[in-house]
Amino acid sequence: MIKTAELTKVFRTDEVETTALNKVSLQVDSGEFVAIMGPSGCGKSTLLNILGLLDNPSKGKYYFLEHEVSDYSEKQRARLRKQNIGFVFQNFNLIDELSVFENVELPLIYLGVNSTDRKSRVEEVLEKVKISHRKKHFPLQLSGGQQQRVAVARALVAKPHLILADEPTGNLDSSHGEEIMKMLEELNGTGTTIVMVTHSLRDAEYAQRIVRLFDGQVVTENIKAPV
Amino acid sequence: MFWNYLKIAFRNLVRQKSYSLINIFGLTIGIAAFLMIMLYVQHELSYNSHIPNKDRLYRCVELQFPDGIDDQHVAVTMVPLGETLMENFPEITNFVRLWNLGEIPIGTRDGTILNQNFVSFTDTTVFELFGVELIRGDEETALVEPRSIIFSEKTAKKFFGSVDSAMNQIVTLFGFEGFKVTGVMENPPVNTHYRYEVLISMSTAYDMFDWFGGWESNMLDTYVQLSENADHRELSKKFKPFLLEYREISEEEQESFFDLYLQPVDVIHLKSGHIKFQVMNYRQGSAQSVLIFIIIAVLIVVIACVNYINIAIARSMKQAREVGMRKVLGASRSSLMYRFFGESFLLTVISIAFSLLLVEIFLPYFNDILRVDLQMDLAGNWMLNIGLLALLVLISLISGAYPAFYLSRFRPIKVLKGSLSDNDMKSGWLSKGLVVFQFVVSIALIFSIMALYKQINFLMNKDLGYNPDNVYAVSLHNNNDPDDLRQLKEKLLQKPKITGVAAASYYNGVAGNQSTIQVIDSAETSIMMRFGYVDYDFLDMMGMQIVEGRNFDESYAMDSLEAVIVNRAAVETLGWENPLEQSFTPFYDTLHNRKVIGVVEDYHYYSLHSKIEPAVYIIYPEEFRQMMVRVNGEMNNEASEYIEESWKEIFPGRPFEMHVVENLIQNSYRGEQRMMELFGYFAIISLIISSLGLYGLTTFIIQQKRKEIGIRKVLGSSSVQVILMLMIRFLKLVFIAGLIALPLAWYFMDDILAGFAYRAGISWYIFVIAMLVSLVIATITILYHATRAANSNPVDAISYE
Repeated sequence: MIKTAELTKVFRTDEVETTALNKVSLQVDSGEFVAIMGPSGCGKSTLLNILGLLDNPSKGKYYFLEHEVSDYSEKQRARLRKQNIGFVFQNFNLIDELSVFENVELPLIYLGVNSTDRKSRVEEVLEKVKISHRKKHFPLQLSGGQQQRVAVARALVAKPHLILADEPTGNLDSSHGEEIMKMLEELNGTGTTIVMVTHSLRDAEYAQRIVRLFDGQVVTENIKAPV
Repeated sequence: MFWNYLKIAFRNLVRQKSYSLINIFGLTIGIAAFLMIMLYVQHELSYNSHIPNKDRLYRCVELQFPDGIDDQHVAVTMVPLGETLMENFPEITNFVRLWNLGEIPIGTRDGTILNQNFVSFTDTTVFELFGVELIRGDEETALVEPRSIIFSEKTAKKFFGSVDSAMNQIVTLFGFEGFKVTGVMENPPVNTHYRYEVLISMSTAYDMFDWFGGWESNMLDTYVQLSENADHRELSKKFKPFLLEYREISEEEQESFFDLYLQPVDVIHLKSGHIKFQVMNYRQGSAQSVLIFIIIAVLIVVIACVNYINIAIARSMKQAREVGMRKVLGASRSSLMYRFFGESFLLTVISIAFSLLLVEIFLPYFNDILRVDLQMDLAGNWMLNIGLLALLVLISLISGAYPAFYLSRFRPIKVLKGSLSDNDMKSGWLSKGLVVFQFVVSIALIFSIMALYKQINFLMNKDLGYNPDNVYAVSLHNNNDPDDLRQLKEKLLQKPKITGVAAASYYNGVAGNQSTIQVIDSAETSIMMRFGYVDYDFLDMMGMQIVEGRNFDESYAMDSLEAVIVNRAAVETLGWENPLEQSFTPFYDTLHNRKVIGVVEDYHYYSLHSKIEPAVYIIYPEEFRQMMVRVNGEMNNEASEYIEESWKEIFPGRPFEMHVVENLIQNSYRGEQRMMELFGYFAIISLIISSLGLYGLTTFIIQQKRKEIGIRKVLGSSSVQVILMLMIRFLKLVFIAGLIALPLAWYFMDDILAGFAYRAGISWYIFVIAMLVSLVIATITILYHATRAANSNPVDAISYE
């Protein structure tokens, strides 16, 4: 599903040149659950952004669903992205002005799904993450765990092949964090590929494979048996 | 401490350059517009302020109940009125009369004759009552003897080169000889309703004209001075009963006899809109437009303040953290308030300084539009200084109040934890409301200029019922000897370029005078009519249509003595079925009955402000004041030189003066044109300020929305979708503003346009265009930021908050 070859990302400011990713080669197969770990500033989020087609690499190749996308324009990336990728962020990134229902509905609107279909699909996915009783609430009226469940619902609603999670439990207490991880695990069980960036070993335990990054390079890849 | 706050405020201004620029720029043009308007308002309110004891001086006004037309207020009175009132009412301590001759030729001993405007006969009391000051001559004697004349300083220099050489000179007036210059007076102030450049002793009029002095006709201004505690309203009530008895008015005429009342001189300039005839009200103003000007001035400044407040609100999220930090470090609420007020104070000082510069630059243009000579006299105009001080305090307070009171109240812990959200601040509604307010003003102004423009355009292009195109009016003054006129006419018509020549009392056919005529019928109907003095060719040459009967004709020997033509309005007012069988007796010539020989179609002899009233036309060369010349196509140099040469040949030494008739017609709409032009500028100013505010606001709001935009893009929104979303959010506000502004402006303009007897009406497209213009301008303003935000990389916005 995902294959990168010597992926490199360099950030330049006026005076400093920072290499965030240095020749990262990585493969993720369909149906896998991969955790990316490493200390702060090692390039985890940069990698995730490139994998999520939010950003282009400076050098190297990136194959997403067999397409070589490293020099795709923002428009082309956006098209691929909205059909295939769901995102879950550490800080949830819900839109405060929209209700739970409207937040989850958003990806479907951008996909051009008609309103009756949207309604049933949103209801369905809200049911799945057990938050449908709060669908008329606004994000600020919910607890962190509830907000993240909404974010997961939003990532799921378009039925993506790949879910990218950036420290999904980072802002949650342990019981809420576990709830979210169980949800992701379940999702993976139904065939969705998941790539997750995390600091937490406990969360990483849910993945089948852990990739460790250090200073923009892959240092180890351990394959674990499914939990 | 104060300096410390100013220093911090100054640093803040420098640090936030673009924000400071928007604020200073907006405030500067706002204040400059305000100052210029207020200088004008001050000027308008200052009329007649030079008159000593002006609170005791009143103008006599008649309320007449004429037959055939509406009641009318007339500030023209009879010659003996002033004296009679003073003799019979102890409250009246003095009076003065002014009889305006308008523009007349004055000749000096060396043979030069120049036209001079603002010439009046007057009583010696003019010195005391109007505060006329002599710089040469003696007030006691200067206007006593017949044929005594005094000149203003300016006019004395015009005729005699200097003030001193003017004294005791002998001049001719209208060709009458032996007028002696007995004094030179100071130039009259600009802000006087009665403008005088040359004054002639009233005794001259008694001396020269046998008919002068009776109660027959209204011809001059009468002003009376009341004793200190007299009530002019109470006094006015006594006039009619007194006059009825004094003049022995018969019982049946008593009811229609006019009412006389007193109008305070200090309201003559602004509150004479209801008066139909006045001897003079130089540059008459209106209280309504002064009020409108004040409202606009205040609105423009408020709009500029709103920018400040709005940007302050938008910034407050950022500033809140700083405020919280300062509080943690021990700042008291009051010290924080000082800080914010210090900032707005500094900003206002800078803006006022710049605006003074702007006023200095633009005042000449403003003067040009309004035809005034306003000066920004910082040293001499104490009202201006007080005004500036008040502006400084008010703007600083209004602008600084929001940040000062609101931000300083924040609880430090809440702010620092970042748990302060947009909703928490409840500022969304306020700043949206303020933007809406700004656009309400702008849209209303755009609407108003368009409605005015349509009206003026309508008036300028409306068929007047005659054809003034390419017609030129040569002023005759007193040169109306029939033989001379005939010669001039023949001479002019020799030129092929000239296609028609005709003389009349005025280019429109009617003179200013109005009088009652008596119809010779069983009921002895009398009716108030306008009088038009025309020659045989006038009606035809000017393209007026005879709809019944015939035009004047030289082959009918008695036409000049016994024939009249009336307009259709007269026929309708009198209810005549067969106008050609009617005849009546005019006031000036009771020997000859006049027979109606024709009916002329109604045409607009006056401006379209007023309705067409009954008019009567007669052949009467003594009253001819203008010779109308129609040329074929555009006037060229050759033709105009030919006209001037012909004039000089027949009237040697007499000043030549020619006007374009179309300009004379358009002069009637100058007031509206000026108002439209000014409204235009005000609308532009308010749009600029509002757009600046909107620009500033979008900068901040889009910054706050970066996260949302980022999320939407991650979820698959395209740039265009983001731009549209942002545009709709802002344009919605402009649209709401339109919904509020348009009905308001419509109501207001409907009221203004009600002053016209003929109205263009307000069309639907004015609503649409006013709305579209503001939407387009708002779109342009927002587009830059919206596009930039939409094209930014979403990654920057979302992950690293």
